[in-house]
Amino acid sequence: MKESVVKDLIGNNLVRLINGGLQGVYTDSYAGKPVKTEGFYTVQSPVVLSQLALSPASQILSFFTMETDSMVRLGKRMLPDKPREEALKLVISANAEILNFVSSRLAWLLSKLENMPDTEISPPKVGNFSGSQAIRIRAEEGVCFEFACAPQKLAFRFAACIQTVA
Amino acid sequence: MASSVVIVDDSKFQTMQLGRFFSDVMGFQVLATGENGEEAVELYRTHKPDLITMDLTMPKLDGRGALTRILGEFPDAKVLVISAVKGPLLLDCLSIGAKSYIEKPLRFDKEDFVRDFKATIGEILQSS
Repeated sequence: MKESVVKDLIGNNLVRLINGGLQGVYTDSYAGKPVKTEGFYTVQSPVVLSQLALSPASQILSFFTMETDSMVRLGKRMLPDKPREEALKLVISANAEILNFVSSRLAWLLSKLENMPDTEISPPKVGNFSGSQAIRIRAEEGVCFEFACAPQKLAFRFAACIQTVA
Repeated sequence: MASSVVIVDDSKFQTMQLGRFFSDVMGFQVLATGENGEEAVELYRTHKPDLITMDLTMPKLDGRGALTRILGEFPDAKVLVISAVKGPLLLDCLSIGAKSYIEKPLRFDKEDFVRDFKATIGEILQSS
């Protein structure tokens, strides 16, 4: 299995998958578009959600990043009765739910593509990828999409790094 | 007397959403919530609820492992799997003894979804 095949699989399905995951969590609709680069995609934020989907032949490490401003705005709107910190934690948890949905579906698509039922996903994790902890994904080994809800000034980014066994 | 439920999911957002639904819409008593499979087993032992809902992808012990342990100790336990996972793992959980399965995302904003969700819970509670 070539990385480019898995990359196309993700690229062709990601916007639909993200919107599927969003529907169970947020009421806003987001427009998604690929980030174009010849070099590297950078994942850099104090709050990054990551999750691994893997099959015997491939692995997809996905990253979900939402800017703090967007999280604060969402928290205020969705959970007006909660203190700021608690609302922020719940927004992070809601975002993890979206990532989890996407990873589950990517694992399922991988199993179909490779005709291998043994795909797995790890639980989503929260990490600090700021400053020197930022990671770079080579463009030929990954995908990156930006999603925006312009009327509400909300945005997030989804990046994935793909590795396959030749 | 109200039916009781324990909700286990590693997403706090999801346990909040499910907790509100079970208490406000279904009239259940939410006895406890947990965020991993080990807590699911402990919470079941402690509370012996009428129903336990469980995610599959969780840290420490996953949903399949927790399901196996709970049913090993309490063969009559009523476990509802609520997960985004698709594929053979689900069939595996149903063959181990989960009563039913609801696929995420949870669309509590959709009438059809709510109706089906309620029907599933009703069937589980009436099952032997």
